[in-house]
Amino acid sequence: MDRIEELKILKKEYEEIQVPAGGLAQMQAAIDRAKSDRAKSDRSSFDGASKAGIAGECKWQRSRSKAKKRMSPWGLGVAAAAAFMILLPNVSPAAAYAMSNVPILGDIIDVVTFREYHEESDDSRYIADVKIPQLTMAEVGSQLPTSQKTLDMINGHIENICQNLIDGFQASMEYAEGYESLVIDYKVFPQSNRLLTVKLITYIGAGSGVEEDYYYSIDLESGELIQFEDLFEADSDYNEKISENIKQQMRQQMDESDSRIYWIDGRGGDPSWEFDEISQDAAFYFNDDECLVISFNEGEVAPMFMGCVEFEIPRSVTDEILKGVYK
Amino acid sequence: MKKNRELLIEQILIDNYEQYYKLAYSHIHVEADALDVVQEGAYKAILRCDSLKEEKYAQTWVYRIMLNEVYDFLRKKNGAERQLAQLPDAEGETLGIAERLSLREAIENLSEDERKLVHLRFFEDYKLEEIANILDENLSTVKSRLYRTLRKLKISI
Repeated sequence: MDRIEELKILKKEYEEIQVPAGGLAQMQAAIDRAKSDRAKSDRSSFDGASKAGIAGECKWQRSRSKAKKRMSPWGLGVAAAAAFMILLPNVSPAAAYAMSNVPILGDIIDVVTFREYHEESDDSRYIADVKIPQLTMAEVGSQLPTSQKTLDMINGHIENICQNLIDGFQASMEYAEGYESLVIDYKVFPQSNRLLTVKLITYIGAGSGVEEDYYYSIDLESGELIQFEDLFEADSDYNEKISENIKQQMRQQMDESDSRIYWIDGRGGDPSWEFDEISQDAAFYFNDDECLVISFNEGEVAPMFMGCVEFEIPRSVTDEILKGVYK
Repeated sequence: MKKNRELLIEQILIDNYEQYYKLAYSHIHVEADALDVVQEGAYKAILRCDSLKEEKYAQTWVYRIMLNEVYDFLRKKNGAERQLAQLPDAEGETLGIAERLSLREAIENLSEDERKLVHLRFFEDYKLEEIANILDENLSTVKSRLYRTLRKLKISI
């Protein structure tokens, strides 16, 4: 094909690019935001208070001094390009969950908001909205031998993750070159089959947003932290059964919609990106219907734009492989 | 006065939204990122609308902001460790993907300045004078650079 033909085709393709339905409304929101920011900066220049520095409100319920610096992977890298829209419905997964003080099954374990951290720079380019959960033993009648240890471990883990994210956020705020939003929240899953699962939701918006979630499940009888593999009978081929079911669901979704893409059947580009089988420490919870749900973080089994993806595994698959106590 | 300027830019943004989105998407190939980039461009355009000198250049001025936003994004993305996956192009199959990719790849491998020229001239159909305006270059520079770029791409017009 000669170059002129090629050019025509590229041009045609260019002209046929479809504008997503909500796009204009999103831009309108950005415009409105810019207008109000402009109005704000007018006001503050009258006050003589519009120094370039960031004087955000910073409220800690408990102060922290440990400062392991870690730049958030997207904070300064991919970019400062365009994060201010983070709370639009198509991007923000996090805003929907708000919870504190949820009493748990027979009040054995409470999940409470341990710390909150809100910060917004004067120009609203940096916004943090953080709620950190903590798991505690309810006061009476709950003498699970190992639970306190498990809870300490989970709490430590959560705190570490959150602290790193907050440090990263504060570091890029000092750097003040772009936009960044940090949202941390959590969710407690409904009780079923002896497990308590807490999901820690973290979201960093800078350029495009990245959500990363962590799941913690405790066996309420033994007080132990339960990993994915602990759910199943040892001699069942749970791994293959679940992996196959997930692949099936992926294929079906891709058949139904061009906008769904999963890295299977050679779509991953690089073989190492392909989803082959589920790992022993996969993230999971049981949903309202008491079905097992497997969750993948962004970029784990699909391109980042797909967000975090979840697969509900039908009972027909899990019934024969789950340990009796978790059915 | 100030409000009028804001409204002018807002109207331009709304009227040309499709053009900006296509510009972003054709470079970035990821819907969510293209949307973000246009939003960011719109935000900046409104925020800085006082720095526009002459209103008759408003449209060019906004386009330039969008163009810069797109290239900023590409630069940052390419510098980042984590690359977004390239989306397979559904239409490609029927049109002989191998051959067509070669021009596309050639264009994507151009320097920023060259790629902008190709985009403005062939995809947006801007006249050379308009291109010179958008890029803030003089006309003869634009002409000779475009000519060189076309030779590089082995396009003879």
